[in-house]
Amino acid sequence: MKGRLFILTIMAAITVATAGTDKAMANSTDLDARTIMQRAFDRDDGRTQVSAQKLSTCRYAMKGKNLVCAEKPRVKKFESIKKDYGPNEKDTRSVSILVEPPAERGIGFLQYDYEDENKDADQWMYLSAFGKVKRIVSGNENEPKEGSFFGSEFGYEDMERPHLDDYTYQLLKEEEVYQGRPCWVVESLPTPKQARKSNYSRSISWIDKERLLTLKSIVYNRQGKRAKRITMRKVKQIDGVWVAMQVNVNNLISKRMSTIKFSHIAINVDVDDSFLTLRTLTDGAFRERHMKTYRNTLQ
Amino acid sequence: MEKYLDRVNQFFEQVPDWVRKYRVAVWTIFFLANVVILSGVSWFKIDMTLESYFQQDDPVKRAYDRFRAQFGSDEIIFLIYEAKDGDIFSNNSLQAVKRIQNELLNYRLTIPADQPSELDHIIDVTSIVNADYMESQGGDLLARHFIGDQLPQTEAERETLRQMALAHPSYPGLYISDDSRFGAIVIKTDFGAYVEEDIVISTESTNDLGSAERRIEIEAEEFDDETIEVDMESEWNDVSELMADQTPKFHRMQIDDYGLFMREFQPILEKKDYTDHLKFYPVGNAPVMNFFEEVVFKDLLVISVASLLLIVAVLWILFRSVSAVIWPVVVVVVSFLWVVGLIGWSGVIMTMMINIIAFLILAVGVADAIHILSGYLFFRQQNQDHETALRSVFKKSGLACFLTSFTTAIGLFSLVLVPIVPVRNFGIFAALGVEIAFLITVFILPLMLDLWAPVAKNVTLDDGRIHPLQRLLRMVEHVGYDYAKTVIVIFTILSVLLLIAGSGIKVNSNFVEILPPGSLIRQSVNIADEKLNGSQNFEILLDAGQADAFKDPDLLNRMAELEEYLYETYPELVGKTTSLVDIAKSSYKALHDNDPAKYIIPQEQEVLAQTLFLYNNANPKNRRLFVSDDYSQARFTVSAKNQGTYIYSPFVEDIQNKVDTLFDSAKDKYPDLNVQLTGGMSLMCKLLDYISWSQIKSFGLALTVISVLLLIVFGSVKIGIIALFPNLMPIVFVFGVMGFFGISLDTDTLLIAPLIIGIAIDDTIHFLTHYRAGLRAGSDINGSIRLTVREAGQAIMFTSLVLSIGFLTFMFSQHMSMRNFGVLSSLAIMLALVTDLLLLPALFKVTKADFGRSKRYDTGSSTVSVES
Repeated sequence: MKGRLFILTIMAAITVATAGTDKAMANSTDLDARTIMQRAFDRDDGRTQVSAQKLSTCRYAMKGKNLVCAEKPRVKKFESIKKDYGPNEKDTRSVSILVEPPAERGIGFLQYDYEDENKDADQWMYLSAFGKVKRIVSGNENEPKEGSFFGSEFGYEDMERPHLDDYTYQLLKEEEVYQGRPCWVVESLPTPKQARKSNYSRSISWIDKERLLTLKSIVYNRQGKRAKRITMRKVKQIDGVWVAMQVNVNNLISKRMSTIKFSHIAINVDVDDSFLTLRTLTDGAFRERHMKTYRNTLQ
Repeated sequence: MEKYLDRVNQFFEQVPDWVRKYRVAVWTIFFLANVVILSGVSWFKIDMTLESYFQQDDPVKRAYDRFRAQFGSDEIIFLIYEAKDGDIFSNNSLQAVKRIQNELLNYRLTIPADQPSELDHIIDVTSIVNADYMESQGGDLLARHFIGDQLPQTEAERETLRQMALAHPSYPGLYISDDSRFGAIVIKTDFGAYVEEDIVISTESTNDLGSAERRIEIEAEEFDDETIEVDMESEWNDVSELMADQTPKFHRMQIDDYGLFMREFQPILEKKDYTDHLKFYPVGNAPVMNFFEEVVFKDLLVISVASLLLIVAVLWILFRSVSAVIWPVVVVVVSFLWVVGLIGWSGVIMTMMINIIAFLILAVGVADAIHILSGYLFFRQQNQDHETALRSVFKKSGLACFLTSFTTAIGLFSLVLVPIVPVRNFGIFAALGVEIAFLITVFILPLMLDLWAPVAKNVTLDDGRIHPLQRLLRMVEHVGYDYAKTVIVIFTILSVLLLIAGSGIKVNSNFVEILPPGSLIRQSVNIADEKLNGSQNFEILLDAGQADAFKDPDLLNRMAELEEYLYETYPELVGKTTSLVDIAKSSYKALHDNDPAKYIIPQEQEVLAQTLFLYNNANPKNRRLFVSDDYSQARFTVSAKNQGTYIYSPFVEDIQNKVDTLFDSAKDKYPDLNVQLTGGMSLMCKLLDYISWSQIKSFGLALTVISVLLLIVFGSVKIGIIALFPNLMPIVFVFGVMGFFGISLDTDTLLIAPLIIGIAIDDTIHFLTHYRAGLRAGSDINGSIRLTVREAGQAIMFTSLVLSIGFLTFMFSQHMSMRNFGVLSSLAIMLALVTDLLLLPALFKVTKADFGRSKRYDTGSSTVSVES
């Protein structure tokens, strides 16, 4: 529940966990790796983002060289608006409204995420069939997050903006070409404190040296097994910001995958502060009026 | 037939001379055969899994695979704990539960990331502390753990918690007992549901760059993901074709997998920190299997060795000769090793049924060897020299040995008709083993005796030394024909009584009750059954064949109806059912400010869909335990008290019938709807019952085949039928005793039947061949009986004593069924002896069964003198 739901485009570094991390601090390459991650975290992702997204999930199979769905994928479409706040533009408010499937149409989320790691995210959910808004209050901060994004393979933890200090880093490879882009390969290990809260024990990230976008991450579960591979594709520059138009998560254990595609996206357009409030969830007319203007900005 | 039998006798008579003539060649061939066959031993493999009983493409197994692919393993460890202060809500108890739960969840933090641990099999750990809880307070929806991080501080808080927990629809019986003295930690495992190729990459240290590079190489090796196109939209139509080779190949759980796990798990339960406040009673497959590995199998091994030693001792007492002890044991051990070697060579995977092969070879091999040895000594006592005695005994007993092993082998071979792979393999190799024992006895034993005879070859034995057992035999030899009618009447009365007692016998396998009554496992199961929802779980897999089906109130209503039916029909057996129904009801209630009247399934499709959406959002991990991501497959779990297959089988069948009628009308809307019982428990039930009944059927068949065979061989319908009675007697006896003491026929005790048939028929065949030979030699019925009791009787008595004393050692087994098996077999073997010595002669006498001698005046060429 806790999840900072809609920071889809970030996914900079995927988190991780385990003991034995102290030694990494002493390593000389450690500082470099940390700087790289710092720059990846601080990458400019735009002040606002308006988008229409499609999330598909299925059990997959390999067919020749392709990963294909072995069942009819479950598709959810939603519109999402987010805006950065705070001194560092690291607090985020977002609204997401489901468009498909029909039975869930109108379900909406409003979420406030805070840079301050001691401050819990606020989340409200609107169930259209009940006409009710509920603030979702969840329990324990000290346990791994259980939620998954709309029941997809994206866990809440995969979508969080990680805190730099929660991990130690090591540069595994300085020269690596991935998807035709020169990359750093950085391993992240969670601090003992973070390890208690994380589903993962380690992650390895491929970071585009020039665009600072994380093109691929592999995360290992608490048992030390490769759990997920998250890849970004179709990278485009939109209004000066590099955006992966397609993000795929491959659950290597359950053999299921989810893909998020931006069907439309606009960056740094004006978003009214009043839109990022509870009224958007409950007041359909209000919501539609604003959405119309935002939709017009989409490309 | 008569002539044919005589020719066979002659053939066997010549065997000792023949093998001795070519002794070098025979020994060489024997040694070479040993080398070749025994080299196969290293490929011998025992598979203990349930799945080994199913063929790869068996629909039942595939359904189970689908279930596990969707919902993971159905094996949980139900770790029951008892609060030492009598209250699981006391501060001490809650603290201890929270600590052990944390340890089980976070053990990884204390070991290096790359070091594999057996505890990795733990997927999830839930207790009253972190049980999933949802309620609304005004505008807030609380989705949290029931107790969570903050344990209650005051007595009042604890009391409130207790009341809330006891009022919760799912917690009592699952996490807490009604008197809150017992609680349970539910440990979900991946036993039987993880894929083999999941290797944990082990590296020395995570900070070592060399190993890190290796890790990246491993990534790259697997496949180059850059070239992989992700295609979400197309091609999913040829699902079946794709999925055919995508069916996960789950790791087959071997018994030592559980042992490995328990050896890491058990020490945690023994920590003082926990045992000060809690007493643990683990329930589940893992502790049971571990008990088997650590206690039952180990003592099985000890008992087997003890049994062999005891047999050696008895052989020595009977024969007073080291040679007569060594050779039978060599024959038995070599025969068994040959079977093991041949199984290795064949590549067939054996189950635990290899044990029975060992017993069978022991029984048949010892019997064959004793008959030859006993006969040999008998003839040496008749002043025959070494060569002549060998010739005589092979002439007399060769045919009998051949017939006994051949009939036993046919009986076993009839198991190929059973459509269960391991049973079939067992039949083939057990038959083979029996034949091997026979061949070694016939062709190698004479050479062994040549090498080292129980009596020095040149010594002549005088009649003065009569074996004490021989004296006993001479005392009873006349009873059969002098008191024929009395004997028959007594046996008839006894049979009737036994049949009455045996009529109540049940075919029932209960794999908890085979464990010792005082054991922790039995106690734990009892607590689970009496204080909580029950120790066993049955799973029902509902597959609607189309997405979003289980967001349809219609299907959920039917599931609720099934739930109600089970509670009403089986109030004693069913503890609790768990399904999406509970989730829908409790979420709907939470959305209505905990109004108890709203603990219902919402009947509008859209409302139900959004209710489930809410739950999924809060707890997708739990949601996945009940319904698949696309809501096309759902799971319905029935927690029940432990019972044997006698109760479970009709229960399982009734559930399936109920389910079929309940969901039949839903097929208009969901034509591909398939609702089916699956999971380890129902599988095990069906299997145990199936094995039991096929054992019963196949041994019935074996008995028939053997009888017909006897009929043909001895060329007399009368004698064939007469011979049948003494063979049925021990079986009737065993069933009678079991019925009387309420012991059920299970997969273990059922093994007595083939053993008894094997041994009893062997006795009878020896008796018959000697009896026939006596008649052929010119004796009358009484004379033949006397001769037979003295000659064959001695050997029969020796084998019976040896085997029954050997089997008696199983009295000390921790395995109840093995204990029953040993004691009952032992008794049955002795009864078979008594029957052959008394009833068979009585029947011959009364029916004047003399192989038609009275019609002919044909006396045999050889004469055997029998003093009257």
